This record gives sequence, structure tokens and C-alpha cells, in this order.
Amino acid sequence: MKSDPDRELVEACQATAPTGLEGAFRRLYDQYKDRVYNVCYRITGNGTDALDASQETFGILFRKITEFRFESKFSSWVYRIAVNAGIDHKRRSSARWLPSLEGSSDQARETARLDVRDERTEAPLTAATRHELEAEIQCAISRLSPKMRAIVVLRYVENLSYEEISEALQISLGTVKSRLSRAHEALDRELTPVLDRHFLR
Amino acid sequence: MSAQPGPHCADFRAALIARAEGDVVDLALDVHLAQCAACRRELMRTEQRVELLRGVSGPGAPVELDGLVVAAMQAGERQQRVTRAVQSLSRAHTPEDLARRLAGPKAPRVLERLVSEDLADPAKALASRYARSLGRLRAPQDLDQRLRDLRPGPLQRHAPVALVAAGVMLALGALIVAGILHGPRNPALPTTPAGPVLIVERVDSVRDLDPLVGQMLSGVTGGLADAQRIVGKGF
Repeated sequence: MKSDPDRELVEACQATAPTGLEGAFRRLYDQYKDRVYNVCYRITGNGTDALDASQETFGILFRKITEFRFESKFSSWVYRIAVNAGIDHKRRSSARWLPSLEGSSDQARETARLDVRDERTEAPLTAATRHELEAEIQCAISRLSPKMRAIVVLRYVENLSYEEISEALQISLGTVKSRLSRAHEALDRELTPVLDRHFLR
Repeated sequence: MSAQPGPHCADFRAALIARAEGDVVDLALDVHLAQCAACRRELMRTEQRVELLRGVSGPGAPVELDGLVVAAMQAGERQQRVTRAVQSLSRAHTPEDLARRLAGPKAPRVLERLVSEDLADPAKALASRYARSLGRLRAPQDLDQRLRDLRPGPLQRHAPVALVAAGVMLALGALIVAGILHGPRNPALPTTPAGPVLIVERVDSVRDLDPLVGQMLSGVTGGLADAQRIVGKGF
């Protein structure tokens, strides 16, 4: 296994058990906060649950970092915790709201609009179009099962390799490929009108 | 060449996705694609889908995440402390072990010296301890002030005597005035209209006094009974 790029920071945290958001743990946090939040956001589909799931992820990291033994890459471990936290929050949130299919798509569309992007650099029409497109993609991702959602997010949003996904989710390479294949089938059904509009224009 | 998916198309599904992601050289797939229009169309759709999915931007973590994480860490720290304490107790196998873990603070080292002194010369140690305890007593800081507040002034010290003297003087004055205004009560005594006459008369009961004088005396002395007592003593 290649040496873990985070090893030094993680070992620094383990040597002096972190007492707060400072020192080596602060550096790890700064390094991972956007990635963790992004994964949680794409899995939960809304900012509030993503924030809760991210908080939970870092809380677990803080408590368990001294037990991490480098049996996988640190980043894989972080992603695994974030994915599980995101799925748990999404499940709880779904149980709370029980929205209709139409309602959930509206909700996903609304929350996807909250994406922060520097719109000063692009024309308003382009920004609006991309907002709409992202909302539709997020909506399609949200309709996937949690397992397929996690694969799609890690592969296409976080650009992890199959091996990294396999390590993060603790599943075999074959399972990664078959789940990704099924996810594409499901996404094809959801995204066909979007693809037609977007690529045939 | 066929436009419908063939029986072997499903076998190339994963390879097709990998190709759409852009980094695979797969000769078997190339051969299949050359023969299968359905898979070529599927490859194009998959490439478009991958492009869309990769184009989704990741929102940055909001600033409030910092505060939430700090709160989670503090909560985690408290939980860890409790967990450690519980684990430490759960590792106690015997009641003695548990009692040892739950034991309070250890005796200070000075205790050994004190006990040795006690054993060597108990009387001296007792006296020494008593003396130390006496030495440690300190009067409260506001004691002086309290004593000053309690000490009576010269006026307060003589107040009872002055009060009695004033009462007696008042009573005497009242008797004199009453005598002047009402004159002698004994008709046998001659009257001298030329001027006021002071008549001194012994009475055994307050009832023998002029009613006005009796009331004044009662008022000064505090009541009829006290007035009677004064009269009885030879007022």
C-alpha cells in the first residue's frame, strides 16, 4: 500500500490526543471539511442534514482518531464515516418528512439551488441554466438507493478510484463495478430528458 | 451490425462505463463496439451522463460547520471521559478491586510523622495539639466594633435613676399644684384666704387622695397598684 499522505498529521493527533479544533486536528479538519460536507450534501440532498452529518463525521473522527491503525488510507476512513453519517441522516430525515415523489423532487431542487458559486464570473442565463441542471442531477442522485448514491458521489463528485471506493465502503472491486453499473441504469431513466435537453440543444 | 442490445452486451456494461470515464484500453470492448450499434449509442449516453455528473460542483462547507464541530468535539470529550471511567470500573474483577478503584484520596505523608509523635509521647503530643488549636483561634475582625456598639454611653448608664427622679419630682409638683387649686380637704382646719397654703397630710390609701392627684400619681408610677404601693410606704 502506498504511504498515506495524511499519516504525519494523523500520527501527530494520536501522539497528543486532540483537545479541540487546533493543531494537527485543525489541519486535518481544514483539509477535509469541504470534501466531507460535499459528500454529505450529495447524499442527504439538503444543507441542513449535510451540516448535521458533517458535524457527526468530525465528532467521530475526533473520538476515534487515536484508534486508527492505517489499515486503510485515512481519507478512505473519513469518506466511509461521512457516507454512513450522510445515509443515516437521510434515512432519519426521510422518516421524518415522508415526502411524495413530486414533493421530494421539489425539495431537492430548492436545496440544490442553495449551492454557493461565484456567479459574478458568469452570465445570469448560464448560471440559471446550470442551477437548474444541477438541481435535476441532484434530484436524480437523491432517487438512487443509499448504496448506489454513495458509489456515484464518491466516483463522480469526489473522483475516487474504484480501489479507493472499495476501501472506503469496504466492498469488493466487483461490487463497486456492479453497483456503479446499476446506478447508471437507474440514472439513465432519470436523466434521459435532461441529457436530451442538454446535449441536443 | 445490430441496433438492439445483443445477448453479450450486458457483459460489456462495466467496461463501457470504464471507457466512458475515459481511461481504459480494452480490445475486447473495441471489437464489440465495432459490431454493436446499441452499445455505441449506450457508450455515448454514458459519456454524456458521466460528463453531467462530474460537472456537479461541490458546495464548500459553510462557516457554521466550525462551531458545530467544536461543539461535537466537546460533547465527545465529555462522553470519552465518562466512557473511560465506566470502562475503568468495569475492569474491576473483585469487590476489593472495585473498592480500591473507588477509594478516596490517599493519606498525606505528614500523617505518619504525627502518629509517630503521638506514640512516642502522647501527653506532649496532646498538649502540643491543644496549644496549636488555641493558637489558631482568632477573634473575628468585627469584634471590636460589635463591643463598641454594645457598650452604653453615660446617658444610657444613668437613664433609670434619672427617670425615677423625674417621676418623683413630677408627682411632688402635681401634689403641690393640686393643693393650691383645691385647698384643704379637712374642714376643721382654718383657711387663710390671704394666699396659697401648703398642706402636708399623711394618707394610708391612694383612695384618700384627691381624685386628680390619685390619677396623676397612677400615671407617673405606672398604675394604681404601684401608686398604692408608694402611698403605703409612707408617701
